[in-house]
This record gives sequence, structure tokens and C-alpha cells, in this order.
Amino acid sequence: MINQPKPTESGKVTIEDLLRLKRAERPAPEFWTTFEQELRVKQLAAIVEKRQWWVALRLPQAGRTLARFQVPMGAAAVLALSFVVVNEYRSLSPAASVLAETYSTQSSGESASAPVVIASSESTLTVDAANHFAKAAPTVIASIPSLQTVVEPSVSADVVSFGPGDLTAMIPWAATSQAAVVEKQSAPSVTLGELSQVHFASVVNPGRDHDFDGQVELDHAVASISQGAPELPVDVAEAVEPVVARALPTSTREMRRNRILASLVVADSTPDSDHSRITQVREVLASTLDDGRLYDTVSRIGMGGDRLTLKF
Amino acid sequence: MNAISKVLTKTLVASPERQLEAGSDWMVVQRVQAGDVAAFDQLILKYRERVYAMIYNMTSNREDAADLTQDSFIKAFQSINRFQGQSSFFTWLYRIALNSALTHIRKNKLRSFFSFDKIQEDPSVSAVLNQLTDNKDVQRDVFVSELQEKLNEAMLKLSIPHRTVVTLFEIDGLSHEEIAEIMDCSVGTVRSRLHYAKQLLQAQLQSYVRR
Repeated sequence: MINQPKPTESGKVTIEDLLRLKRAERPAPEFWTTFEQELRVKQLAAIVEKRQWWVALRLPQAGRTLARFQVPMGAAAVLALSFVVVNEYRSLSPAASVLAETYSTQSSGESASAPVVIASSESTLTVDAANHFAKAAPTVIASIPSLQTVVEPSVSADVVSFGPGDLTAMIPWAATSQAAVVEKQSAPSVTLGELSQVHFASVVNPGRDHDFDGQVELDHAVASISQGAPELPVDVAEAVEPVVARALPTSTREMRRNRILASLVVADSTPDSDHSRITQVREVLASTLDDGRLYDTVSRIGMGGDRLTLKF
Repeated sequence: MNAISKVLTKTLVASPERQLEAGSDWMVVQRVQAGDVAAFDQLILKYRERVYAMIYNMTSNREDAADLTQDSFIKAFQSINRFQGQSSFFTWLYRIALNSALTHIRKNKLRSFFSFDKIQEDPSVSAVLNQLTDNKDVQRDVFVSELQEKLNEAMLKLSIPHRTVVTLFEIDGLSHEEIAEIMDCSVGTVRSRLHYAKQLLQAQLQSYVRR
């Protein structure tokens, strides 16, 4: 217990004596009754779990209020999600979508010789202008992010170099046309300008495709691709751009498929055929079919102004 | 038994009374830890006055002292399962109470309101008061009030470590070793702080001491 110091006997008050007065400052007995009650209250308050702030929000009540709107809200959410997905899908290849739009407008009645605009995210170049530029300049390197063309007018059979799958990524049926260009390399009478004009005319106006007299050459080119031409690595698998495929006129797509199927027959009959190339082409066919089915589904969702429509 | 011996080893420096006290406290604490919550009331009844006195002399405010004493007991109750008996329960509880008081003092550094308990006169206190009021033409009650105020002012002018040492030693009657354990410092530090604090108090209360 607390040691009780004896009071000073000398009659002199020390600092310890004064501090003994401090020790004598004690509360009255009633104080402890109040103290006890307050302590019990605090103990109970400490035991009871504190109410969290989100409980005060009354979320269950809000949920009951919103219950009547759950069907329209769910439908709106699904529509919003579909809108976002379609938007995302369309923005995957802006150059290709612009190209597709261009082709669709061209095929609806404009002249085949009209300049075709190839738009990319960074630059825009008309093909006619490019051809003119190729004739005028001794060496021109036309650089578009997704299309690189080196033109040397001194050589009649123009050397056209492509990055791996560059052109085919933009234009799915370009594999055929690229092959045609390769064939043209052996024909010195054809210039790049003529070649590109013929190529784009065939692409832009598929109705006039039967006028193109290089059809046989194209078929040969497709056959050579399927056999694997080492000097022109054309990645046919990358040629599948669903948006462009959808934008193509049906007849052109059918023709392309027929051509590829014909090349497959030729390749299968060749004894030293490249089986990996054949497999790739088959995958292209399969993926084209799948893409068509996918776009059939996506095309049911339409957007016009501030409206979103669904076709069933 | 092992834990009890640990407690006893820790409290060897204390008096035999404190050793017995530590042993019995440990038994009660074990009951509380086992789920006998009512057993904690024994500890409250046993230590509430001492804990209150310590906090009151640190803060010089009876309302604050009451609140802080209650908070200290609640904190002790909430964390009693963590008490492993490595020190005596008394020391552990005192440390909790002291930390609560120090936190309160630091928070309310600029605010100091006095609120005193009455001096309960016992023979030793009466003797001191008689000596102080002898040959004085003043009312005793007025004099006691004035003295009480001066004492508390002087205490509040001390730094917190010095005030703590004076409170624990001179007012609560703890030993140097117990104070060293509570304040987590050496016994020498406690002695030197006590000596210095007394000098300061003597300077503050000169008019009452030199008679």
C-alpha cells in the first residue's frame, strides 16, 4: 500500500509535506457511484459493434425501390454493353473501315477511274496522285503507315516491295492483286501506273471484273502463292479483316472464294505442294465463313442518331 | 504456476506486499481470460482509486481524470487477453493509465482547467495545515484553496516526465523500481528526475516552504 510519511516534527514545512496535501485530494464516496455507472455504460458501448457508415445508407430500402425498374435497367445495361462492344470492334481497324466505306460508295455507281482514297490514321494519299508522283520523281518512297511502296520509274517492271502482310492487312483480296503484280514484273511493257489503275479498277468496280484480261494471270498468281513464293511472303491469314469482308460486294467475295478454292485444287494436285500453305488457305476460308456469320449477328444492331435498334 | 513465478521474478524488486498482490491479480486475470468477465470488477474495485489519483495529479482536473480512468479500465478489459503475466497487472494497468493521461495532456496542451477534489483531512494533513496557518489572520478554507491552486500550478509547470515521476513517487507512493518499469527507463533516471523536479517545486512554492 501507499507509504504514509510521518508529518514533520521540526515545525518546518517541506516540499514533501506539501505534496502530501496533494495526496489527500480525494473524491467523495458518491463520486464512485457515478463512476461505476458511467463505466458500465462505456463498457457496454465498447462491446456493441460500431455501426458502419454504409449501413446508414439504407441500401436494402433503395434496392426495394429500384426493384420495379430492374427489367428496363437490365435491358438498358445489355444495350449499353452491346453498343460498347460494337464500337470497340469497329475501332480496331480504322483504315480498313474507311476503305470499306470507300468501296461501298464506289461500287454504288461512281466511275471506276475515280481516285480511290486510302486513309490511315496519319496520312491520306490518292492513288492517282501516287502514280503521277511515281512517274515524275526518279525514286520515290511513298510511305504510309500500313502501305510501303518503292517506285523506280527507270525499271519498266516496277519493283513493289511490301512489308509482311501490310497490304493484305488492309485489303483482304490484295493477295490476289499482289500476285498479279509479281506476274507483271516479268512483263516490261506494263508500268506501275497502269498496273495500279487496273488493279484498283478491278477492286473498286467488281461488276467490271470480267473485263480484266489478267484473270488467268491472277489465277496463276494464286496458285504460286499456295505453292509458297519465297520472294513475296504474303500472309494470307492476315488478309481476313471482317469489316472489309462485310463491306465487300457478295459477288466479289464469292469470286475470291472460288479462286482460292481453285488454287487449293491445283495445289493439292501438285506433288511437291507446300502443305502448310494449303492449311493456311483453308483456315482463311473457314475464318471468312465464321466472320460472315459473326457479322450477320452484329448487323442486327443498328445505330442512328440517338437511337439504337435491334433486329430480330 | 510458471507464469506466476515469472510475475514474481519481475516483481522481486517490489515489496513482499506487492509480490502477493501480483500473484493474486494474476489469478483474477486468468479467470477473466477464461471468460469470467465479472471477475474484472474485482480488479476495478481494487485499483480504481489509485489509478484515478495518478491521473488526477497529472491533469489537475477531476472530470478528465474520471473519464480517463474509465477509459483505462475499458482498454485494459479489451486487451486483457494479450496480457501474458510478464509484469504485474498493477504495473500493466498503470502503464495503460499513464499513456492515456499523457495522450490527453498532449492533446490539450493549450487548455488547462483546474477542477479540484476536496482535501480529505487526516491527522498528518491537519498537522501540515496547522503549521501553515499558525499565526495567520486568514480563514483556513480560503488558505487551503489558495494553497491547492498554487500546488497544482507548480505541478503543471513541470515537464511531463518530471511530473510523472513526482506523481508516482511522492503522491502514489510507488518505488523507484516500479516507476522505472512503468516509465520504461532506468532507476537512476527516475532518481535524477525526482531530484530535479523537487528542486523546481521548491522554487515554485518558496513562500510556503520557508517558514
